[in-house]
Amino acid sequence: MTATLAPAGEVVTFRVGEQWFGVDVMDVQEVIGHLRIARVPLAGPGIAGFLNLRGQIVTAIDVHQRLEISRHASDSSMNVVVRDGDELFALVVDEVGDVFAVPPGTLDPAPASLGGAWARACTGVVRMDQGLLAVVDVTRLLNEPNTRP
Amino acid sequence: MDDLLKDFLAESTENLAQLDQDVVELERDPSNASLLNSIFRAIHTIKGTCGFLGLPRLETVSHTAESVLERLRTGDLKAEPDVISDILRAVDVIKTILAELAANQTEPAGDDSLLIALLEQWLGADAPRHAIAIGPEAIANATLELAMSPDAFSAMRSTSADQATAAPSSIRVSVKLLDALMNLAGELVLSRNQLLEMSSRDEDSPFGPPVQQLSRITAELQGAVIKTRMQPVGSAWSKLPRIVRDIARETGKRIELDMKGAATELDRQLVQALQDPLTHMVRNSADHGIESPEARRAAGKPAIGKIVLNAYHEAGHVIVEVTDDGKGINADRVRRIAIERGLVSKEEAHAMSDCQVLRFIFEPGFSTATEVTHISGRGVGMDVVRSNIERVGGAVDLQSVGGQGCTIRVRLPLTLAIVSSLIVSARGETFAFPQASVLELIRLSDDQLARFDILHNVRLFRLRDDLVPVVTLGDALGLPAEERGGVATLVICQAGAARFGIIVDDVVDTQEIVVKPVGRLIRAVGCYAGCTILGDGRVVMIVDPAALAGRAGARTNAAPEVVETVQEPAKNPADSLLVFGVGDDAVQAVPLSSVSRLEEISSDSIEYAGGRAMVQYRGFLLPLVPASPAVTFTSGRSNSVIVFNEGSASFGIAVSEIRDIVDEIVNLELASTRPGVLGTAVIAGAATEVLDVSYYMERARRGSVS
Repeated sequence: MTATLAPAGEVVTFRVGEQWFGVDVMDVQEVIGHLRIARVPLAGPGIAGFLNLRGQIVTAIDVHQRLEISRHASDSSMNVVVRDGDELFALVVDEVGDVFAVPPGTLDPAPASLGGAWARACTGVVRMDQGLLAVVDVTRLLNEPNTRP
Repeated sequence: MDDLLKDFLAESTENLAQLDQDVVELERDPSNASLLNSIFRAIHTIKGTCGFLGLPRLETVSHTAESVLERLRTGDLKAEPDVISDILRAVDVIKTILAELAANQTEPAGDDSLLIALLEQWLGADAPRHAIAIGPEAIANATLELAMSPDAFSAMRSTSADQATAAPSSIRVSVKLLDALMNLAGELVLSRNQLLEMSSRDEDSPFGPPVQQLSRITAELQGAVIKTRMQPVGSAWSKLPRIVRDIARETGKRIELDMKGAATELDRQLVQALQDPLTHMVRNSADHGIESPEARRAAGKPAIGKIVLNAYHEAGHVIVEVTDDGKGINADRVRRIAIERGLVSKEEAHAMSDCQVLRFIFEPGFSTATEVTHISGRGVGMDVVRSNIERVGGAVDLQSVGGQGCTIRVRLPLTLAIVSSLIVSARGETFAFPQASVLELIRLSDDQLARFDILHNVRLFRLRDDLVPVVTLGDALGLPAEERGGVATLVICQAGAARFGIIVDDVVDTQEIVVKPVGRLIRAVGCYAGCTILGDGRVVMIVDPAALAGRAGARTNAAPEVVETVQEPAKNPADSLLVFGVGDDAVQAVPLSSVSRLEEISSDSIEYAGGRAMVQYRGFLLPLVPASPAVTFTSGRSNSVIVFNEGSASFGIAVSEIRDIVDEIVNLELASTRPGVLGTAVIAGAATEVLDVSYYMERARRGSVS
């Protein structure tokens, strides 16, 4: 799988569990703190519910569940609001970091050994001093097949 | 300027902008049928409307162009550059005429014979290429003659300014701006709520009164902003009376147009999407549906035909109906044409019900009109109606009784519409029900909650004379059960002809809410008609009662639906009895465990073969036996039929009415001497004969009826 990023090569970083992720800065509309999420009964796994972003309904995605990362009680939650097509989604994550400019040529393809949801969503990895930054594709993350009941 | 003309110009200018691109695109991709259809429609719309406005020149040009396009559409002609050029020439002429119209409000004089000749050469049987020798010069001249007068151009630009001065009471605002306003108002509501909460903590706060004031104004502002997007459906109707009148005059018919529910509000986008389809439908009704006064009198109908437009809210949808009392649509004719056109095989077509067959009317290019008039009849129209309606998430359906008229029912989603809703709670969560689908609320005591009649897994509530299937909202939505005593509320809902009950914990409020569409990931769930944001900023799901009941498996008691009563391993099944009337006040009962289903079957669908009554049922023939000689199949009425299954064989016993389901220990007090009856018992306080199902089974198999 080839890794692609917008020409600017910048990603918004966020942490889920122990892992840091990056999404293309062009896909991100804004980052907001914790908001009340209205649960939607019968919604598929990985869907946390709806939140009200200044009068707009946003589908909240439970990234923990989506990427099968276990949750700790101490985790606080933040929302990375991303746009896919003409719809808004909020990625519910533990912590939001800086915008990081991926130096050209440092984005490696995702390891072939990744399985399941990770293999589908992850488009590449960046080696950083603190560990690996997994770059995920917003559209693929949202459209995980297991979201459909 | 005449409103009709103004609308026509605005609409045509919009269509033409796209038309140029489409025609050029078609040249590149000649086999693109949908492109061709869209070009055809654009020209057709112009042609259709200019007939009413008295624009003969425009009409001739567009009519001829349309005829060429028709040949392209049927495949008689290939979309080669030469044809395309000629069509583009026609488009240019149409544009020029429209520009002049906008400037002077009259059609400019001019000679289009050259253009018509150019176009008509494509209409000949074998279309000899350029049979008419037209030199490039001649064409150049012709084009020159068509060039716009200088003031036509400036007039085209100033049309909008003109409109503004003519109607100073309204202005055009972009929808984007309205959406932005809506969001801002939403944000304001949230801030207000925070302020309200802060000031309520301290009763003596000096901020109290101004915050109250702010709160009220905020609510009003939000309401007003919401209303900016709403329009009465009547605004899409304004040009219909004239159109109907003109058609009536032209065809010598007498037609009355009755418009009901014009004030029904819906989102402006929906109103717009409705406009063209409505025009097409009404035009069709007036031109094809309504007969001439003589024909109407001969058919025993009043000489004046009637077209009724009716708009209303139903079950969370906006319904717009166009009904005429004309000659209706002949289903057999549609069937024949569908077969001829290869839309369906002969066998399939004959297996389809009339209702299904009539839907072919919505296929592109389908027309039952024998002649092509300039009003309608080329088979465009109904497909436009359907595609426009479906584009905004609506549905369209058609009912017609030969000789009695035709009803087209357009169902638009309530997305974006404001609806009254019932706010309910279930297991700690809040939901909204569209109030339009709520019939009544019944408070249930603990005792009543424990005492539903149960058929298989379906709980039934005795609502006066009716048995209504019931589901619990919390269970249907998979919410974790919780112990709670006390009362609950049963919400009786109606969707179409079906009626059912949904149990909720509490009814909290009624509110006018703005329906917002649910995101694509949630849409798949299917139980929600949308969601909304309550005054306090909470997001709440709007339950679609029919979808919910369907999902939860509550069979509804609508005519075509089935109350499944699949055999149930109850502790003592013989104790549950289905009680029914068999005419003459006589009451009979059968053990519920032997019953497979209850059906309502129309007498008209009952067929007779060799003296046996039967009905086509789920793909096989179901023999019917009347429970007593007093049970008759009166034409036009529906009959209650109890369906029994034994092994692979099924049969139905026709009864006059289903009365009740009772739990009782049966003591046959009088053994019967009558065949078919096991004996008589007192059930629910009345002497009731208990049927011998195996006797009737044998009867049905042998085939003697009575």
